[in-house]
Amino acid sequence: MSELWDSIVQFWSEGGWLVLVQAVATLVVGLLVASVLGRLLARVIRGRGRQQTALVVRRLTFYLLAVIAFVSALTVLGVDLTVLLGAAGVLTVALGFAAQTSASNLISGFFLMGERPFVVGDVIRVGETTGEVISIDMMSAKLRTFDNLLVRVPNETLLKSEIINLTHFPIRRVDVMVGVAYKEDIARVRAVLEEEADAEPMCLDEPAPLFIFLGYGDSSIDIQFSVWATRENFVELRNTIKLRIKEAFDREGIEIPFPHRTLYTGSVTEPFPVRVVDEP
Amino acid sequence: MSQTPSSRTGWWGTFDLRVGAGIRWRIGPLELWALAQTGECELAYRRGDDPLDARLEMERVAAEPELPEGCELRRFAWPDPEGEVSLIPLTADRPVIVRPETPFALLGDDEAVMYVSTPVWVRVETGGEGRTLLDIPAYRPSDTWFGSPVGDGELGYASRTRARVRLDAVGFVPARAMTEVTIRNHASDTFVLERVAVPTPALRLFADMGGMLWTSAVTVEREVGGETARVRVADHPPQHATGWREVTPPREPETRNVIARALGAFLGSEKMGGAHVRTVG
Repeated sequence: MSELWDSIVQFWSEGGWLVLVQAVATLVVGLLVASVLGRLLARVIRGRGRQQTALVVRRLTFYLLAVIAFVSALTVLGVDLTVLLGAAGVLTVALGFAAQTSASNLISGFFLMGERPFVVGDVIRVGETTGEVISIDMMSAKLRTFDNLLVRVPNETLLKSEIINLTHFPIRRVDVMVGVAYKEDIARVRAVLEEEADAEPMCLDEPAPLFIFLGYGDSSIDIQFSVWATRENFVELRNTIKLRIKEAFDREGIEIPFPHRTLYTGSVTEPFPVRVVDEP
Repeated sequence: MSQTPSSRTGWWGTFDLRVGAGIRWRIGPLELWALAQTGECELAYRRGDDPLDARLEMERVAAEPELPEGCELRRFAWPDPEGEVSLIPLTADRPVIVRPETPFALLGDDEAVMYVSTPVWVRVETGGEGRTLLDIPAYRPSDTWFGSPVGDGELGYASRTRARVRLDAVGFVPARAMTEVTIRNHASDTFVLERVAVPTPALRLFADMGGMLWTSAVTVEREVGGETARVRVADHPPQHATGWREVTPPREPETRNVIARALGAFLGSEKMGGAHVRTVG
C-alpha cells in the first residue's frame, strides 16, 4: 500500500499530472467530436427520409470514434498498446463465441436496412405474428400487434423468415368464399354479387371484381368472389362486402346451405321412412 | 343575402341562416339541411342512388325538422345569431376515370372530341369568414384504380356515365359538370381508346348563361412516335358554354407535377399502359 502511495506521489511530482490532463482532454474532445459527427450524419440521412438508418449510423459513428478517442487517450498516457492488443485478441475470440447471435443480428440488420422489405408503419406478418412495425433497430424490429402487444423480432429471424408485408402495395384484394345451394342459378348469383360490388363505393371498379367457380362441394356450389380495395379501406370492406352479400342473398332468396348429407338406402332411392313425433 | 336556386343562376351562393331556422336543398341526388339553433349549427345530408338525378330545390324549414332515416349529421359551434352559409360547387378531389361507350380507335393524325360529365362536390362554408364546414360529393362515385396494381398508378373515381362524342347525348344535370376532352393522335399508328382519366382537381369550374356547370376544356395530344403525350388545360370552358363566368378555381394549383401525374395515367389502352408523358406549360 505504501509502495503504491509512493508511486502516486512520484508520478505527480514528476509532471505526470500534465500527461493525465492531456489524456482526459483527448478523451473528452474525442467523445464530443464523436457525438457531433454522429448527429450531423444522422441529420443528413434523416433528410433523405431514412429515419431508422439515421439512428443506426449515429450510434455506430459515436461508438467507433469513442473507441478511437479511448485508444488515443491511452497512447497519450504512454500505455503499451501491443499488450492491450494481445489481450484484446484473446478477448475478441472469447466474445466472438459468446456473441455469435448478437453479431448475427447486427449483420442481419444491415442487410435488412439495405433490402428494405418493410419500413416503419408497415403491417407485416412474420410466422404467426402480425403487427405494425414501430421501430427497426440494430438488433431487432419491434411490432405492435392489433391487440396492443409489443413483439420483439430479432433481425436474424427476420432475415431467415418469410415476411409478408400487408401494406406494401396501395391496393389489396378481398376474397369472399361463399357456397350456394345446388338449385340456384349461378348466372343469377353472379349478377347479384357483381351488383353488390358495383353499389359499394369502396370496391374498386378497376381492377374489376373476380368471380371464380371453385367447384362442386359436398353441400354447396363453392364460389370465390374477389373485390379490390385500397389498403386503407381493406379491413372495412372485408366486413362490409360480406354483409352486403348476405343481405342481397336474403333479399333475392338465394340459399347458402348448411352442410348436410343425404342418405340413400341403396341403389334404389327409396328414402328412409321418417315419422315426426310431437314433443310431450 | 338570401338566394333561391334556379336553373338560370345555379344552386350555389350565400344564404341567410338565422338561429331558430333552417334550409333544405336538393341538388340532384344530394339532400342537404343546414339548421341553426342557439350556439350551434347542424348540417345533415343523405344521397340518393341516381347519379343523373336532375332535381333542384331549396326551401326554408324549421330549425329542428324531422330528418329522414339514413342522414349523416355534423354539428358545429355557431355563435352568430344572424349568420350566413355559402354553398360552393367544386370539382372532384381525385381524377375521374370515364370510359367511352365502347372502346374506339383513333387513326393516325386523327382527332376526336368527347364529352364527359363528372359529379361535383358541394362545399358548405360559413358566410362571413369562409371557413369550410363540409366538403362532400353530390353523388359518391365508386373508387377505382388507374394503373398498375403494384404501385405505379393512381386512385380515382369511376364515372357512372360514359364519354360521348355528342354533347346532347350526355345531358346536363345540376350536380354534374361537363368537360370537353379533345384527343389528337399525331402518331402514324392507330390508338385504341378504352378509358380517360379526367384530371378534375386541376380544372376550373364555370357556369354558362343557363346555370349549367362546365370545367376547363382539356386537350390531349399523342405525339409522333406514340410513346409520349401532352395535356393542355385551358383557362376557359369550351365554346358551347355561352356567356360563361368562372365559379371556382381548381382545387390543386396547375403545377407541372399535378398534370404530369394525371398524364401518366390519363389515357388507357394496350399501347399507352406505360407511356411517359411531358407537360406543356
